[in-house]
Amino acid sequence: MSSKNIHELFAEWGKKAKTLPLHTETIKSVALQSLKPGVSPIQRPSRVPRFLLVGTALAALILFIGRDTFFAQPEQRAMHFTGSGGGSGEAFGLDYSDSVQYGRTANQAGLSESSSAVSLGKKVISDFFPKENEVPIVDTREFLKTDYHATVKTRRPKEVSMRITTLIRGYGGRVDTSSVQSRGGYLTFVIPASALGSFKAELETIVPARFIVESIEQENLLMQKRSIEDSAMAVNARLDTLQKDRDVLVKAHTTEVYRLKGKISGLTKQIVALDAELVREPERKEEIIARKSQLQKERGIFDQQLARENRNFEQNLSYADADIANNQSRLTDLGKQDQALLNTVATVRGSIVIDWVSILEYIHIFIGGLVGWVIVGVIFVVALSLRSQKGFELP
Amino acid sequence: MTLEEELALVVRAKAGERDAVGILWEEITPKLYGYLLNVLREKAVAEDILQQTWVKAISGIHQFKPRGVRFSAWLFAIARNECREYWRRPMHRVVGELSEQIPSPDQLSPIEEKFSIERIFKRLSQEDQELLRLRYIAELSFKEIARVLRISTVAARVRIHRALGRARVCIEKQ
Repeated sequence: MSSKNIHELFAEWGKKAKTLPLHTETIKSVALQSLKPGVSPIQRPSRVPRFLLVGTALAALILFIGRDTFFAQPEQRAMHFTGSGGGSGEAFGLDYSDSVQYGRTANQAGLSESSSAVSLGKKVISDFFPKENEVPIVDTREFLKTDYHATVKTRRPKEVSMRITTLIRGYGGRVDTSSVQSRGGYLTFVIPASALGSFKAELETIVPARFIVESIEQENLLMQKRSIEDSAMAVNARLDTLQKDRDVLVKAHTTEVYRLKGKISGLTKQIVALDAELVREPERKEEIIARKSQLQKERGIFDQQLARENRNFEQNLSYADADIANNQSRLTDLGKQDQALLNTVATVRGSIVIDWVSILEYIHIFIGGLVGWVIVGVIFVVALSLRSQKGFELP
Repeated sequence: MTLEEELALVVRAKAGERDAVGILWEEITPKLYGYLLNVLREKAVAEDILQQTWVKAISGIHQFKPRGVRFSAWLFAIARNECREYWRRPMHRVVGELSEQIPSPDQLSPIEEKFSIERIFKRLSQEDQELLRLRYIAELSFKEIARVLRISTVAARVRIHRALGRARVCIEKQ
């Protein structure tokens, strides 16, 4: 037997089951007595489609959750545009030609970790670029040059830009470039490296973490530091040598001058003695004259030697002093380079791009993509199902 | 009677029009009484419950919220509630057989004689019986049955389909 036939059978059965009671008029009149005139009119069924009701409820929920972002009052401050030179940290004068590298080049010290952090909603993805070992593994020092970049999504770019500017200055930093429009902005700045963690944490109080995409690049300047240190060591060694050579030069000159002066003095005494001699014999006079002439000749030679020695000494001494001065100047420069490197390590160079975000994108980010829409769909289906299950309100 | 026609009568009944109530009475009472008779199996009790149902419905007509179902569906929900209240009372009378409900063999057509629906009906579970009463005596839609039984429309449709299937099996076994 088909379903249709059994349906017809039951339909027929149902029709036959209909009947009026024996005392129908009595029952009817009793029922009519309970009729009250002028009762409030029946409530018409809602004409609003279900999906609109549920969708509106969901939208209200999302707005409620994101109310701080949608409805927060912006601070009233004047906008300003500044421009200055590039950030600090590039002028320590090292002649290394490395460009900004991704990942910590602590690999150059033989360390295996790299730290380039590309953050998506605080999720870190590491890049790894292995480098040749140019610094011994035993040297585990880190002199990290840090660059911070972030993209911030917000519906209030001007307000967020002002608050970030205040934040930078609050941490002892400096804003180097600033450009803000109604739909976006851009900031470059520097802040102390010691303040980076606090800066990032406080940035999340301005814009929720899921609306921030961060990138932190760090480079270990250990190779440069070692280069400076090695150079300084070499220069110091050179200075020691030059100083010793100078001392030797001075000592040799003094010795030579003493010898020559001794000779000259001896010859001069002989000449003086011959002049003092009383001579009557003409032959003796002849001898004295000849001797004096010879002694004077010898003394002249020694005078010339002395003069030459003095000239040579002056010249060599000036050379030595010049060498020493050059190396001392080099040492001073290396000291400045070292300080510049330390300043670079102590400073974070940063840039922040401020992007305006639409409502749809805001919801997409907030709900978390496909998972969020699946959840919304499940809630919608459950809402419809619950609605359909509700029974009557009985008197 | 369509949903809109019923609602229009209910609006007039709320305003106190006895005629509107009379029309609703004429339209709904045969189905409602037939349903109660099938449930309670006793005329006197069925009449009592019928009266109580109508009195409560008319007294509390302002509580009726259509939401896509007819006034008669609400009446049947009240009637079911009244039946439950009746069975809870300790002194309710024992349900007897309504021999007159079942046609005598010479009144049956050849098919009805062979496949007495009433016999088949009694072999079904209480739940199946209730579903079939609401569907074929009360002539409620699946949506209205769902509201009365507080289940989803899909569940109502599936359960009635399965009840018919079980009934068909009973018939085929005969």
